[in-house]
Amino acid sequence: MNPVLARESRQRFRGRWSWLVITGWVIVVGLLTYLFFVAGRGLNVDFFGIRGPLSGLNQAGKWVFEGMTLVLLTSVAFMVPGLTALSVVGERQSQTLHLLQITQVTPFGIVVGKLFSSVGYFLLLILAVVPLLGLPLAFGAIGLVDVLVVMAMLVLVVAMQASVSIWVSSRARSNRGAVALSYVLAVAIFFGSFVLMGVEALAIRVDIEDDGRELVSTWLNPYVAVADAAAFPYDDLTGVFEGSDLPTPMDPIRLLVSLRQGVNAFDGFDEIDEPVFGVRRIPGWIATTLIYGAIIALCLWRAARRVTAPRALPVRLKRAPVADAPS
Amino acid sequence: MMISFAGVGKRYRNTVALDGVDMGIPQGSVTGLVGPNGAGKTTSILLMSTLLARDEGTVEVGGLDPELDAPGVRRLIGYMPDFFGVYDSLTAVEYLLFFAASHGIAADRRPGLASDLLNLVGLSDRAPQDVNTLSRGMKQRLSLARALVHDPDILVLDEPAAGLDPRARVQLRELIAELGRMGKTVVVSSHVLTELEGICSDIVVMDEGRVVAQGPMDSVRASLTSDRFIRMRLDDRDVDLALTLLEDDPRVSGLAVESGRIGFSLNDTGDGASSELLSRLVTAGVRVAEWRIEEIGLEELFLRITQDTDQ
Repeated sequence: MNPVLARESRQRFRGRWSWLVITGWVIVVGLLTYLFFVAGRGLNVDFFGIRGPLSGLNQAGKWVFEGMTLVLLTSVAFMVPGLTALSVVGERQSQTLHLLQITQVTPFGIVVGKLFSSVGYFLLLILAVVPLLGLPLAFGAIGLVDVLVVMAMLVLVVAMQASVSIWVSSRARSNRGAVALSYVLAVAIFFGSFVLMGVEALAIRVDIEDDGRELVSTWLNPYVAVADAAAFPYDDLTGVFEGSDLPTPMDPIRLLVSLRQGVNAFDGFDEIDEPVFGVRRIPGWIATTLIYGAIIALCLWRAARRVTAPRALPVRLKRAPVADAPS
Repeated sequence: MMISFAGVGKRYRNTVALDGVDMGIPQGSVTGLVGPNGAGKTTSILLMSTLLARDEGTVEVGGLDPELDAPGVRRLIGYMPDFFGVYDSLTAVEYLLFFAASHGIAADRRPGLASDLLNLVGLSDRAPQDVNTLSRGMKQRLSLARALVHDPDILVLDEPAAGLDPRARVQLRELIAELGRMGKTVVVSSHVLTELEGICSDIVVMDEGRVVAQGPMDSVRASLTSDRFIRMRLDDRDVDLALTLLEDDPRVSGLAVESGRIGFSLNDTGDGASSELLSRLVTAGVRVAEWRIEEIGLEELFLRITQDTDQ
């Protein structure tokens, strides 16, 4: 086992705040689950007017699953930078980086250990609320595959965000700077990409119906990526806003997925084989996976370069033969 | 030589840290790397410890280039910096276990190794204690244990006694001397020269990024001193006789007399000069109760060296 991962995991779980954080997290997620449950069930009851002990559970399950998916994704943006931003700069500040550099742990081993430690801690937080997320399964609203797909995409998003923060941490000169820049980049990735989509949509609006150009910026957005993977193979993308289905929390994002897949979300199922823009593209989640994979590899490589010692110099000015120095 | 520097230069922006440094550290020696702040001691230590790249010249540690074979050098070298890096929430034994794992030591060997090292540095009873709560002296000793965790042939200690109280300094000096007796090649840097007295077999004196003197301590001392000061205690009745004999010796100068004690400089550092003079006094009937040769201290030595350099 990577010794950095082992040490960091031990420290994370031994910290005086760790159990408080986990307890608080479970309480908050529990409350939100309850709110989504009440909202979904209430919507169903209001719409169909049927009241009973089992009425609306399926709709409530959809709301809990999709609502909690969005909550977990958003929590990645707010928690992962906090978990990883100090990973390298913190070692510098506490003067332990040199001690680590002169061991046999490679620079890549150091950054990968820190990445796995952050991802592992976040996965533990998710595991802590699995019983709550299991409710939709019990209600029959979703299948096990849906849960696994969302979990896999969550891990990918966490790994991407953690890698970015580790890279920032490896370049930062102060703890405060590392935390600030990590959060700026997280906000840019999670929310700024929506703005980018709007800008891109406006920019290509004229051509979109002519040549089927798509919103490339949707590939960057974690919400779209998760919704895309959950919707794959897009059988139920059409009719997102049609009258036959009640709305769910992820519908607005599903609309973005349908747009980039050339499926008209406002029309019926008959449109699925005839995309509005005439182009069926590669699934967006595959593009996102490739892009995030590249970001992870690039960030870890750059971070490893920053913790490599000694830093290689491009030019040797002079090389003298080694000889015993005069005594 | 276990560590060799040849024409090594290192520059930090506009500041020259090392300027063509040539030095050799013999295998099995305890070498004091001395010099004032900014002399280039820490830069030299970082270069040999694979933590810094040189701008020019050649460095070899155990026959390996620290830049070309950093993992190989890291197996040979144990480095103790002038600060103590703290990991929160780790006990002393966990701290050592972590570094043992980081050096690739097999999991089944680590507990015994950590226990032995804590015993060596006198911290066995502190094994379960959080490292944050250890005193500075204890942290330094734990840091020394960490540097020894992979049983390196070379130990590089940068200002190991900085900030320690007198008792902790003595304990650390004894530990370093013990490591020297164990056959380790030890490099100790310090700008407090009295710390190195008595434990170093060799010395490298640095000033302004250059090596100004190096070699076995006695040789460096002898090369820089043309005389030695001798104090003798004798029977009051023999003082006049002794003074007569000493005044007749052309090598003796600076005679000082005070109630049965005579002090003087002997302008001959040869091995037999002092004993030959003592023998002559005793043969002449002087009853010598005490005969003490006062070597010049490291501080005095360093002042003389740097004075020569300045001139």
